[in-house]
Amino acid sequence: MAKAKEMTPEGNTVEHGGFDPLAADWRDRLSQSGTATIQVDAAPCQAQLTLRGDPADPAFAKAVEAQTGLLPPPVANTLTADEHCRLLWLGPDEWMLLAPPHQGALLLSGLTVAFAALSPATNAMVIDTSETRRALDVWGPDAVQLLERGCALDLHPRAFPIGRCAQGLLAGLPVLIAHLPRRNGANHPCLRIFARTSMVRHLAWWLVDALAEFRRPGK
Amino acid sequence: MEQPFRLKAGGRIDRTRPLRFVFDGKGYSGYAGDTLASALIANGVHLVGRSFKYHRPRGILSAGAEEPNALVQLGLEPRLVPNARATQVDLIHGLEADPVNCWPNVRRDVLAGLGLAAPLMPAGFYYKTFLASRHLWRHVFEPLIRRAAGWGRVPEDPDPDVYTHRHLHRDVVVVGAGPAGLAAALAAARTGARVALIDEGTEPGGSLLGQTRTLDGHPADQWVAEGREELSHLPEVLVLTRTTAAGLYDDGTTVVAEERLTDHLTSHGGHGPRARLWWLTSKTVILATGAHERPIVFPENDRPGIMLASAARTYALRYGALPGKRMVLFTTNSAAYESAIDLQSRGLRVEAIVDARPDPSGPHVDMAEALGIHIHKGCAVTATDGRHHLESVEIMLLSPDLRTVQAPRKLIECDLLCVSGGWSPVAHLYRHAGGQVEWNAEVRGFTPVPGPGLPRVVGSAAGTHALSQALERALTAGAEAAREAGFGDGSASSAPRVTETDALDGMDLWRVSDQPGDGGRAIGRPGHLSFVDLQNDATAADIDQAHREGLTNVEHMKRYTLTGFGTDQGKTSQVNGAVILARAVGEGPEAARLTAQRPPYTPITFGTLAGRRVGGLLDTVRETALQDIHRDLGKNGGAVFEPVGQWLRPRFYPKAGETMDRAVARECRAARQEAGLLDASTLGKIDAQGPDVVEFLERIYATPVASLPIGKVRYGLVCKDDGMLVDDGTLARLEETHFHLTTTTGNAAWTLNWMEEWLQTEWPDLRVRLTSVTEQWAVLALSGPKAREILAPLAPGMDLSVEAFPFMTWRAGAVAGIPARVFRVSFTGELSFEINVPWRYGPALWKALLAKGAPLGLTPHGTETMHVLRAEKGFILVGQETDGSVTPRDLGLGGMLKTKRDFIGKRGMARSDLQRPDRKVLVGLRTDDPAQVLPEGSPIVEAMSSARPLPMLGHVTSSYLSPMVGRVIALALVKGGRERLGQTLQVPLEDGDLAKVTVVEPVFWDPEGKRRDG
Amino acid sequence: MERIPCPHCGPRPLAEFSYGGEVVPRPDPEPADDATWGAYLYVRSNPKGPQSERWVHIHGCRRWFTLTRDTATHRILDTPLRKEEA
Repeated sequence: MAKAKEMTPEGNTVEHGGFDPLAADWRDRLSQSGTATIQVDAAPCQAQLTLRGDPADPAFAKAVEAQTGLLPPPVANTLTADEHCRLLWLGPDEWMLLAPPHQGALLLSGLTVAFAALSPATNAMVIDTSETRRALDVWGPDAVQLLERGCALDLHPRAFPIGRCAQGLLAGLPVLIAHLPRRNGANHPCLRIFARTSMVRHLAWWLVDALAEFRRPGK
Repeated sequence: MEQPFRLKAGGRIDRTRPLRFVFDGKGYSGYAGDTLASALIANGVHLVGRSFKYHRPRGILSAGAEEPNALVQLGLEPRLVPNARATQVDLIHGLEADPVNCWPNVRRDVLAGLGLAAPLMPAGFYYKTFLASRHLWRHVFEPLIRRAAGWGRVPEDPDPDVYTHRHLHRDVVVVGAGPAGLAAALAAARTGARVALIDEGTEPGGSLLGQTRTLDGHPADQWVAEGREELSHLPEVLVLTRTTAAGLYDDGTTVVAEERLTDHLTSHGGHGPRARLWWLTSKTVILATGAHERPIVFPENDRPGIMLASAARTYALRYGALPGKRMVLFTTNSAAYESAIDLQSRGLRVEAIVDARPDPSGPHVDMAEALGIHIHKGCAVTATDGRHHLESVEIMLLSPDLRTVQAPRKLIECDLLCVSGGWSPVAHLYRHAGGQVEWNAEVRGFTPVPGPGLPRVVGSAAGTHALSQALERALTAGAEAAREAGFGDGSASSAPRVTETDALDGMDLWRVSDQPGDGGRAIGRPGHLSFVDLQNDATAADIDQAHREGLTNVEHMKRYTLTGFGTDQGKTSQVNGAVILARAVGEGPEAARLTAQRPPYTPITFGTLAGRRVGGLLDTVRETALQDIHRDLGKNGGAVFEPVGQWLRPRFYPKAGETMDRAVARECRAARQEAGLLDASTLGKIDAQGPDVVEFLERIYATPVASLPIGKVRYGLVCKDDGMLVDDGTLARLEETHFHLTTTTGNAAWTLNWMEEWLQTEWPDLRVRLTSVTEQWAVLALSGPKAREILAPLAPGMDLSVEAFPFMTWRAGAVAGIPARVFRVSFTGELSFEINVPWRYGPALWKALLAKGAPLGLTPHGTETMHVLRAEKGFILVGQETDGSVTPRDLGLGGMLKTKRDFIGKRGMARSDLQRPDRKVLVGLRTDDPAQVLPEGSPIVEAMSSARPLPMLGHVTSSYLSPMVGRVIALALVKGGRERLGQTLQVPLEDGDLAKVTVVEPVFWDPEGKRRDG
Repeated sequence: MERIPCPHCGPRPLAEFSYGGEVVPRPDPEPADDATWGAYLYVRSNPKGPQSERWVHIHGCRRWFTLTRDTATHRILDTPLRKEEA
């Protein structure tokens, strides 16, 4: 069983065991495929909670803020973040909370209790979906160009600045892409791509294949 | 002498970089910057191919994408490229090209004899021959025509090259980098908008390249260079050359284009992709696609040496290659005079200008006269001569009504005949987007009709012939398009001053009559043909015949005569053909209709369309957390996988040297006698919760929900509103308003989305939240008499006794130290635990179970064994026993349905047809031959008879060799099957044999269900 | 490649969507006779021209919505308003 020690973007050291589709050999393949202008790596594993609720209910937003420190992003396809957590828009009444792994259980129970006190009309819900998605990071000056090889979203910085996120298709499979200001504490922005855990190796393979084009002369 | 027709100076070729190439087996040289066509012309080679039907000698007609004749075969296996247009093939060192449609070579084509048979192969030949005699067609004509036609050879081996795709969003996309496109792109780009400018040529500039004209007092080339320079400094501008816009899609904002990346560098596979398919999505699109010069339809208008006037000028000015020594210009307009004058200035001798207009005028007409060029006014070319190359033309006077020609005949010796019948705007992309074109009498061509939501069209594509006007309008269009996308204020800089060409003051001469006005015999020799479509050998006489036979719709005429088909899609023939048909009907060009235009504009290789979605990257492959374990298992190559939807699931795990049958038999026995282990992680899983979740699930499921206590599990059926079963699975009640649902592997995404549709569109008042948790939980199904014994030591905190943990309940607890939900459900009929753990711990659980279980005989099994085990129990598999026309009642599951409460499918099932007693229902089949596996889908009949159609009673849905039952078992859907229990029926097999089967109950193993509790 | 206006995410490529067909009102099941139910199940108006139809942004925000599309031109005539623009 793979045991990995990871730095979360927030700088907390955590341990987790268990299978990771992007463990050792895949991480090597990804990092070795990088070029001078594009780098790819597995993103750190984080707790992922799915939040549902009525954004028009101020009590819902207040409960989310009280538990996470973040307000649900008011605009579609954007995210809110602080040094611990990120809250990504998934739908008009649906968000994904990203948190350091060791905080996942606490946040889950805190939100569950907080939501139980809300009006049933808000229909607020939180569920642990940490296992359902696995993320990859792509960064560097040509990162967008790499993704444009198989993604019809407008990822140009004018249309997709830091703080934007969007769901769509990449390499023919459904993904959630977020433009983050920092990666792993390093001071460069990155595109974090979440894919279904069962599909993430296919995506990794696709990225390795796509990067080959950028390593050749004249790309 | 090398390149005898090459000018000493001039043109955009690099004389310091000579390139060797081979055409039709003979070596030549050209220069960097040449196309294959310009290099051939520089070498005096004009005979470049044979025509499709009559194998007539053909030469280079054009200098661009519209070329119908000069199609060549490039390269060697596996990089064969059929039907490349020599006019667009960049010359590279070592290029090998061959003409198509000829054998053994282009000069001595043995099938040229067909030309003599021309009158025997009129329009509609294929249809009529086929209708007259199927036999003759199949055995005589089709093989002959297929061998003769060919049109190039395709590679037999897999394409070794790599192709890539790229999606890009722009504010403005400009198609065509001629003067108008360049101006539009500049105006748009100066606002800071994201702009893409694409052109099929090797460099921007279009018709200005190598021009004699000046802009703002400078040579045209300089204006082009300055424009390119400015664009290159704007960061948000992308200029793509060798990039053909293939199509403009539905809403007119996505340009799909093919960029050729390496064909101009190497013929044997370069570094990196050979081509790239662009998906350019733009807020606005500007089309500056130019115009194609139109040939004139006259007798024998197809000889090598007959060329569009603008093309001849392009070869001389841009490539420094003279297409002849002595030329005649045959024109209907003054604009073409410029070509004659330019060609004369480059050393060609203009023998005559044949102008169909009785009284031509204009600055260039005056200039031609001043140069001493003889102008034959009101005349037409009525015949040509020369075997492999033009040697002379015959001209006659046109009658005032243009219907006949009159003596005297005059013969002019020449080796080049330039023709110009006017210009046809290139509106292909505009029409892809749904735009219309109509006859424009001023332009004498079909021009785009502007409309809301359609792209802007500028330059000669819009019928704007005058350069100054084209530039001015293009600058405005570029600025306006940018403003619409949110950039700039819409104002553009003023257009450069230009030396203007003559206006398009042409006349309409659609066809030179071959009838002398004096009533004498038809002009020329018998079999003289006036070609409309050179690629398909369709003649004006063919169109006459189509009209005589009642085919007056242009789409019908196209299919009857082939006008407009082929790799060029009628770029030079479509307008002539349509107007000739309109005139045959008695109408003018304004009544002509053009055939539909569809992508691609020019052919695209399949590799480009596929991109990297080939081989293993063709479709997404989904893997469970245990995939690596499955691969390694047994160290004999691991599992044999089968695709189930996008998942790759282990089908069976063969030991060394084991066949599938033996492996499956071993796995089946283990599961029935000891224990089996299946990776069931692919099961669809949905978390459903919310205050109204019970009401929601009651409406969705055909089986009861509300009565299910917390801690229990129930089998559930899902039907559509028509009453047909679409999915099955289990419902586990976690809490009062919280359920864990499972779906079949293949229907997981569909079922969730379908539930969401009801929730979001029909019942938005229901407070329910659905979440896919398929990948949240790895699922291992531990099944068999020893399942409890294996699990117990791993779950010390869990009482596994029948009393504490009965069938169809679930418990939470730790298994192997992992937090788990364990479900006592069974798809095998044996004592079974479906253990759900967080996805990442699937492998750990698998290893723990095998460590404990292997000594007790625990054996991993794949989907094949799962199928056998469930079929032995008569458990249905959605998609195998069902096909969208099967109700739960048909499957013997009617007793599970709710009787009082409404649910989706209830009303549908109540329809009278679904109540019929003779519906096909699920039964078992016992084969007479115990080893005869029945192919799934085999029909079932009462008995063979001569009745046609043979009455079918149903079909086999599943059939396996069951090692435990000791014979073949089968499930089937049979009409009135319950009443047929005990009857003997027959199953016709592929080899003509009949399998005798007896209808039995569809349960072959443990019918009393005693084994499920262990 | 057509672009479909998602009311939440804006115009997105067709591939991100799944088609739900013409909007057909569901009759009350109990009183509906076989003909009425059969028509609801199987009969579609199939117009050449504007049609009210359902789409879901299946690979995006997973939300169902209704729009009007001209079946002859594929032009989308009436789009649900985006939240940001409303």
